[in-house]
Amino acid sequence: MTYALEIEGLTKSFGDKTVVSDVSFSVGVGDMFGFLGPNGSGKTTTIRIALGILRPDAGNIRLLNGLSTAEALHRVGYLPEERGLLRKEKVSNVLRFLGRLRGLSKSEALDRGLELLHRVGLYEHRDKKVEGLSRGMTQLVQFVASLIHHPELIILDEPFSGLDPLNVQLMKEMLAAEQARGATVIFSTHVLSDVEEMCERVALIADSRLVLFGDLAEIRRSRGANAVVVEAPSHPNALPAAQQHAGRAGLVEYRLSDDLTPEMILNSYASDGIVLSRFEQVLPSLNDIFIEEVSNVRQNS
Amino acid sequence: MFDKTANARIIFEEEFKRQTRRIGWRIFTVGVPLVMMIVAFLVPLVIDALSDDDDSTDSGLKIGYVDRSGVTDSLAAIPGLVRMNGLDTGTDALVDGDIEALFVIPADYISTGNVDWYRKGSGLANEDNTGDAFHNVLRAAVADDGLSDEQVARILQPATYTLFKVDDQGRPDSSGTLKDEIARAAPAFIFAMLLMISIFVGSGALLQSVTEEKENRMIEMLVTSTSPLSIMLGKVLGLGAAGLLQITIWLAFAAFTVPMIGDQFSGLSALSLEPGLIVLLVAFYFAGYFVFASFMAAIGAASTSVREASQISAIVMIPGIIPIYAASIIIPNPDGGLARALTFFPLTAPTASMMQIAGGTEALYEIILGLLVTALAGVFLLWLSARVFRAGLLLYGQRMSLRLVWNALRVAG
Repeated sequence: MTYALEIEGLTKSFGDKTVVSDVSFSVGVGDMFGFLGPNGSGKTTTIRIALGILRPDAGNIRLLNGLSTAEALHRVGYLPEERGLLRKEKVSNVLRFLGRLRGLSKSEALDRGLELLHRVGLYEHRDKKVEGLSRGMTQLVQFVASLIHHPELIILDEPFSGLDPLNVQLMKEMLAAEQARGATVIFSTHVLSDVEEMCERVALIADSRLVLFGDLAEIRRSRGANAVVVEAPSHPNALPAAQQHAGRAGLVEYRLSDDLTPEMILNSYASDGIVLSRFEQVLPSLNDIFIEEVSNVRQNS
Repeated sequence: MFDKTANARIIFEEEFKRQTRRIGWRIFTVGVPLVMMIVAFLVPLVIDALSDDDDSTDSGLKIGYVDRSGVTDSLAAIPGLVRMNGLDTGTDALVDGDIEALFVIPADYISTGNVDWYRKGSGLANEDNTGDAFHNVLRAAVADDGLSDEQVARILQPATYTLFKVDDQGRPDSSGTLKDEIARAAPAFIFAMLLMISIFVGSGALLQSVTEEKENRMIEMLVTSTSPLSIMLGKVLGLGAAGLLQITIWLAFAAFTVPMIGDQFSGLSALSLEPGLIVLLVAFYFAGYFVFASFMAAIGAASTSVREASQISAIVMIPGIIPIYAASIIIPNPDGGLARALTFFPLTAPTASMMQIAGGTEALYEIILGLLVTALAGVFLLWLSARVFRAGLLLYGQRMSLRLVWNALRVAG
């Protein structure tokens, strides 16, 4: 397996505060990878170390199968969490400048920048100064800058925050296209629905430690079912209050626990003589896993 | 392929373009020569006006002279001119205020053209007026039919004055010819001023550029594209080149205007630059610019706002202009302790060295050593500013303190 990013035993402290503690994970070439964690958990610091902005206290980083950081960075597209561009400059000039820094010629950088501006609907704003754009537009321009040089690895720190749903959808489509082209995409977020929708693999960091890493589907399967969905004309009164699914009458979901197993639910319907049209065990959502894992870490610490 | 040099060149180009496209830069670049042009046209008019007023006082201006050559022997007494019997009588009259200036025409005047000029005060314009007034006396002697062609030719040429400042006791002190004095001191002074202007403009722009990038949150985009050293090098050279372009434009205007006003200030026409001095000027310009610009870049990188950075930068700027203020100490004593100490301190070396040159120092090796120290300091400070630039990433929104910067430097290490 070839890796776009390998992080091993990464540790970083600022003064007395440890912000990243012994974190290890890897991202395969071509993956769409979700890097999860609550605010202040160490995601941005991990990304900054991976990109050589900060130096780790301990641990190793390998970018694009072991290229030197300097060489690898020319093949990396990066959208920092701290948004911003040269405010007094024209949009097209900023893109040309950043494209050139990533190895494109002047004309290549300008052509590619304009092509991407077209794609995100900002072509008409190419001659405007950055300070004349809205915050969302600036973020899109910065996103464009991270893709301008056809990077092999794209790292985006909270890419969707502050964008309207249409632009979020546009960005997702463009990232999917980048993955289809063969690029590896890593993005950090705490919006879990985005990760469930887009990513095959995830890492979850909480209180500076890695608490979960791997294939998202496998993680969910390994947790086992945590609910049962039942569709029936009526429901036994003996069972605890069910969570009614909106939009479909007769569909209820039972949260499983030691006191409520799938067998107990099934027996209850059978004893009441209710015929089931659907009985399905439900795997935990990423949201459930996130809350459980982060809560556990916080309780333990 | 990642190429630090290529990226430094790209940043150089972008910074140069960005700076020269700024309205403020263009106004300043054009504004200074315009002011020079206005001065060039107005000053002669003002001087003419003042000269008209002075015509009445010229007759009241008393100039003493001692003629040991005999060229004025045939002249009748001229109003305002007092012929003295000897030097002592003349200096006594000067001290007593009976005359404004004393000129001694030596016996070898016809062969050398030298005239000794004794004075109490200073001031170029007054000196020139006095010198011109005295020269009129010599010209008047041409009317004497008894003079040879050689004597006439000499008299029609401007005299070469050797200046003597007379103290309250009437003791003279040689200070060299006026032409020598100006020719030696003026280039050094002009360079010192140009250096300081370029430092204020160039490093001020650098300070603004770095601080704006921090405020704009561009730093992370940049440091993941190229090395901090390439960024710093590109910025320093790009803005330095814009500063050089500005100075070149000013000098071109000066080259145009100086000949126009040179007639009014004979000292300006005496300006001359030795090739060796030009090499030193250029070398100190670059070394000094690197030192100050790197300092400014480091301050900009460690500061959280343009205002904060500007306040701190003043602390670094002040040493640069100390030698100019101390010119009255350094120039008369160019090899003294103060002059030598300031020449070995990178922040004062560029201007201090020029003041030493203006004073006619003989310790050229010390000047060159000072240049080396400054150049090395420039390289070290550029490297340091690159580290601070990187460390500055950690100081987003934090109030700067030396301890924070030091910690950030270690963290970014």
